[in-house]
Amino acid sequence: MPTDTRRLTGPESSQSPYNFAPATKLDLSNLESRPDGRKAHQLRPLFLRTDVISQARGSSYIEMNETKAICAVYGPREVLRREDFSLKGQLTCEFKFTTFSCKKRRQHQQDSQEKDLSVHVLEALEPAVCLHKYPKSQINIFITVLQHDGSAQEEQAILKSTVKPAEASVGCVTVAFLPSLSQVSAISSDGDLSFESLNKTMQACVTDCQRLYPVLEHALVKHQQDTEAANR
Amino acid sequence: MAEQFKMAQPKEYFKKFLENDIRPDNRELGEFRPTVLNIGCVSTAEGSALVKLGNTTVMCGVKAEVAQPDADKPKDGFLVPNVELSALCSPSFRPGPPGEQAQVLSQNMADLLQTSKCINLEDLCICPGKLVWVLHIDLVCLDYDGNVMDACTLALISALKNTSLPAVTVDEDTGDIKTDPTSLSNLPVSCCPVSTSFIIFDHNVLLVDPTNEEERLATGAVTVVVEGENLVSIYKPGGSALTDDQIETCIDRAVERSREASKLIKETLYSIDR
Repeated sequence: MPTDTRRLTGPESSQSPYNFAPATKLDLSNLESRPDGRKAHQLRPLFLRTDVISQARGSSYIEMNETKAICAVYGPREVLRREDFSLKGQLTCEFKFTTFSCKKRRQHQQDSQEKDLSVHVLEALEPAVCLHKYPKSQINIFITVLQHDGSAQEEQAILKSTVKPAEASVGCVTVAFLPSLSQVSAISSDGDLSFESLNKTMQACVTDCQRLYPVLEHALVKHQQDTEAANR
Repeated sequence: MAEQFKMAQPKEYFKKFLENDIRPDNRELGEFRPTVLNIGCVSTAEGSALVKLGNTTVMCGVKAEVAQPDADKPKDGFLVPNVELSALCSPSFRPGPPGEQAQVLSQNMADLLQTSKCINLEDLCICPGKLVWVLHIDLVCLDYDGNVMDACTLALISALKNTSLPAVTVDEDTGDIKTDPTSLSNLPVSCCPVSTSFIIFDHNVLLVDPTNEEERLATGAVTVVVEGENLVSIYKPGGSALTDDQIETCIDRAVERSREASKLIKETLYSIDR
């Protein structure tokens, strides 16, 4: 592996102390109650706040029990490389886990999982942003997961920016949904799944997305009211 | 009108405020922004802290790993601090490898740990010559609004004070390593260095805890690190010259700040212990 000269590095090889601990196994056989006391179809409680980063155009923080993520939107700004030029606006997305966000330490550089998630988020959000209103410019989304306890992807999509999103989109574990257009913007499914159960899961995801939408609406409305009150 | 004046002539705009010994955000010249400290906010890390200095936000997470020690220092563990100024925190940073500023900050953190000796590296020894702790201390800036240095130090020390390590044993004969995640012990932190940053405006006015705007107008900067009543280091990277008296004022203010900060850390730690 090439050495990183711009960061301080520790010893060449080190490993997690939990590699030497007795393994614990998660029991998911009981559908009625999961290890954290939830039912199979129950979502974790959601906390959402917008405008948390003073320097960004739009930003949000989301917390679902032990999963926490922060997201910032910058732009529209000029396209840096000439090759990337296009008349339509562009959207970029960078998804990153902080090194301490998981049980096992992550690296500073973006790994393949993070790159994969970036693309997923981008695909889910592209239909939601009015890119034609920002010709020749770029809008950048940055998402950082501060603590990861599963379904971090859910966070991604929930963002708000002052740059006129046509529709705030709500992502679900595998389904991103545009509630007021009632359209699904992205689905990704991993693993062996029968067609029937995929259909069923999708239905469930869409329902859950619709249930998350009011939370998002509420956070946006509250932020708007707060800013108006502050300006008065 | 004020907005336009600020845009066109930021320096003049600023001077108008300073004539009355006040700053645009209603602070006095020697006043810090409100400091918020949250300790132990990330449960996946061995120790963590979130610091807010006004808008500036820094999160620190300590991740512990085990490794073989260096042959010439068989008992010493490793401390690896890194500061990340990601593109998320400010429009002036771009994604990619850390820039100069982030590298300087990382080195500052490493120097601070080394010179203040707040952690005895031998405390990180599990089995001499065989196994020691490596503490990866990662500081992530989430909102860049000036004075990241002070926010980083406070986050670093608070996270270290919050760090607890699982019990790891090495079998003498077989060399097998065993971890007991249920028995945790706190990392001993012997002292609490606190840094205080100033900028020099117009070659003679000293402003403590600068915001991003103030940093851009600065003609110089000083950072004073103190531990209780003792001076740990002064860092002054060029810029306008300062008189002895001015340096002394900086140190006095830094000592006062250190008292406030240690009190804040102590109170926060106490409140999470209960």
